[in-house]
Amino acid sequence: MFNKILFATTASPTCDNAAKVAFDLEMKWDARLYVFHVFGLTGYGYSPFVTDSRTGEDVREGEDYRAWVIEEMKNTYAKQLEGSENIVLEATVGLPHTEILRKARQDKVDLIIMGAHTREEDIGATRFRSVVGSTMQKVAQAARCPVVIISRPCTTCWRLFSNIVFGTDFSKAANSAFLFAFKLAKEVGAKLYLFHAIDIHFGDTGQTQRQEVIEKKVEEARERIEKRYVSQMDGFDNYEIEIWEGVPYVEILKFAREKDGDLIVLAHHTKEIDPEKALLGSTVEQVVLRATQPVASVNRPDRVAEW
Amino acid sequence: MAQAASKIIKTEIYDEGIEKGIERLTQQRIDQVINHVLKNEVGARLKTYVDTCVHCGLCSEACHFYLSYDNDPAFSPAGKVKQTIWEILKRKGNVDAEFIKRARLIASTECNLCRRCAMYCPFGIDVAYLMSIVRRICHLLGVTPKYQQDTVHSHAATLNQMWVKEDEYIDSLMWQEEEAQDEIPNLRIPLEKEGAEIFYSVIAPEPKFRAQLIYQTAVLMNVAGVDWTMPATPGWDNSDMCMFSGDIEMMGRLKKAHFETAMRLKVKRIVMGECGHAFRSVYDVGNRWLLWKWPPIPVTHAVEFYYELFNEGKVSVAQKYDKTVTFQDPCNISRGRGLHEMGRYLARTLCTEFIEMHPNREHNLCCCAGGGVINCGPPFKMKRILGNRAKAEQLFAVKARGAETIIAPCHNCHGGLDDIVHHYGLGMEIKFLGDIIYDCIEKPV
Repeated sequence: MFNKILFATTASPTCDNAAKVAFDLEMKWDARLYVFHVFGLTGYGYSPFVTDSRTGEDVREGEDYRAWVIEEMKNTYAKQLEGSENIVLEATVGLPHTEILRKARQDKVDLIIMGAHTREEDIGATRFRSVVGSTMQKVAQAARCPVVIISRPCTTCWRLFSNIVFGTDFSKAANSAFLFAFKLAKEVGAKLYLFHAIDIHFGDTGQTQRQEVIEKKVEEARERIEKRYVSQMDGFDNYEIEIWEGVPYVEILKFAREKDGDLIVLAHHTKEIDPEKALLGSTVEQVVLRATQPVASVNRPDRVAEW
Repeated sequence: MAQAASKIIKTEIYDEGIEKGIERLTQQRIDQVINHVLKNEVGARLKTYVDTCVHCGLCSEACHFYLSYDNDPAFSPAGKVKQTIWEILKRKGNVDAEFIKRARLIASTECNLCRRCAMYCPFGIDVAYLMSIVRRICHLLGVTPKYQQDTVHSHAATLNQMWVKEDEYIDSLMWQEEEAQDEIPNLRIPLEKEGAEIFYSVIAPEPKFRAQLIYQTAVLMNVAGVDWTMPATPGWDNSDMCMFSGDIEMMGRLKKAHFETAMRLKVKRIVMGECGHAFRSVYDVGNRWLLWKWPPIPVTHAVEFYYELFNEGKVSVAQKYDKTVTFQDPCNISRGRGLHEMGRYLARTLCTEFIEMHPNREHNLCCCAGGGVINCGPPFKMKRILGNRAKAEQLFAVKARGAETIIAPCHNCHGGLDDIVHHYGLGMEIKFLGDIIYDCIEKPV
């Protein structure tokens, strides 16, 4: 399923949880793993120097510095690198999301793994944050392959996943997310939960919905799931459909907790084109912030369809 | 602030390019180069300026360095001239290596060639031209800030500013085309389309780091139904650090490649992205070095191009940008070309609320990054930021009146303002017109 995996890292402890999963996948799936670190942010105009994301210092970008950064990465991941052969360490400068997407496209990777946020303790993070915070968003939104975001320790190995939760909003992008969830569930023999949350949150207008309207919507959603997804599953029967109502990101988190979900699969705020505008409205963002398990965001069929 | 300023002047800034350069100098070489330049490369223009100046000092308050360093006369335009070219003329080139070092520092790190002082000179003396001659002399003497020289090397080797390889450039365009096709399925970034109306040229940082800008342009071009193309050969980059280091032979080579690319593609005109110095190079300095009074192919800056599109109704605004904006007039397109009213037309068309910073238009203060100063690199960063306290004050005043976003249609302005906003804690957002246009225009659903 995964031949090439791109682990986009800040090469700092923030990404430790993600690193664990990335290196684990490399071993278990026998994939090639690119450990990719965008270490510096360039200024506008042409500046031959960049702000190092870890030290916060202006440095001269060049072969020497790059080699030094890679050396540092080797130290950081010394333990994980032991005994693995199929790992490539790379470092570059630029806007993190642009460079990650460029790399993913260049090497046609099957999966991107990344941490969610830069932490306060990282020196130089303050200036970096404005872009790093949205790096995950922008990558998840534009990537052609699934993007797995890991912000908390993931204790289960992927091979041993037993419950995969797929949350849908019935958008076009959600079809790709479904394909990924389904194929993965089949491959590792996990149970697939097809989940939809009816959004009954109307802001602060004080409006409420009548119970029968909600129930009707629940019924409709169930039918849509049957028609749209179950019909594609080709006899696979280890699944369950659930429709809850409430605020979508809260409901999906509650659901994943109840079912001991190992992975949540979503399409990234597909209703909004511009990730900046959907900054807070994004279900994926909210889920990532709070989820105890990895979250996969899949927007496009390009890579998943080939598996 | 007074202390910080004097400290900066007294502290020696070490730059390898300059230091190594002066180590190699001999008195004979200095004489030879200076006399060559004075005899063969300059003429009536220099003589007129030098003979006309009455040393009145009215130019002083035009300079952001002078204002920011507590009215230190050493930073006034006339003061800079007095310390460099006048002295050179007076001594008929008999100056020492230390003098050359000081001259390089003055001309390249204490002057942005922004030409604001020319607005205040009763005779309209172009001090920027005088500083360019100093830079030229220093270049020929091999005394150039290291970081800037590196950029010049890139120009010489690749015909672009950032060591971008040919396939890397093409691939970036193809990539952005693919990305944008998600939004507009039949969108193209036409490569090598002979006979297209427009050749769109960019500066190297766009494909290298800010691919999003190319994406945005592609969307705009497609929405507006423009017949455009980008070349797949060197010559695509319109930027020019050689113009600022004094390597004018290389500048000529770059501009020649740029114009010849346009001619090979048989386009009607060149449209350039939002960059100021590149415009100066293509429209004013580089073409004239190649003996074209005006560019051989019409050149349109992005601001003027956007203006046309909106004015002719080729694109329309779906939803206005709702933060209060102000407009940073880049020196090379406002003082240099008078595009300030078009910039304002766009700001008003695209944004709900627009307020002026003061001074503005052709009197606007420089960002302190242009003229190759930001390209002198980290050693000079603080000198540059402290040297534009005046800008911080100007921005603070407009912020106090409600401005949240600065529109700056120039890469160098972005770089300079970004540093100023961070250093002085102004907390303002800086955007290109292209960013706002992309967000606000009506796009096919």
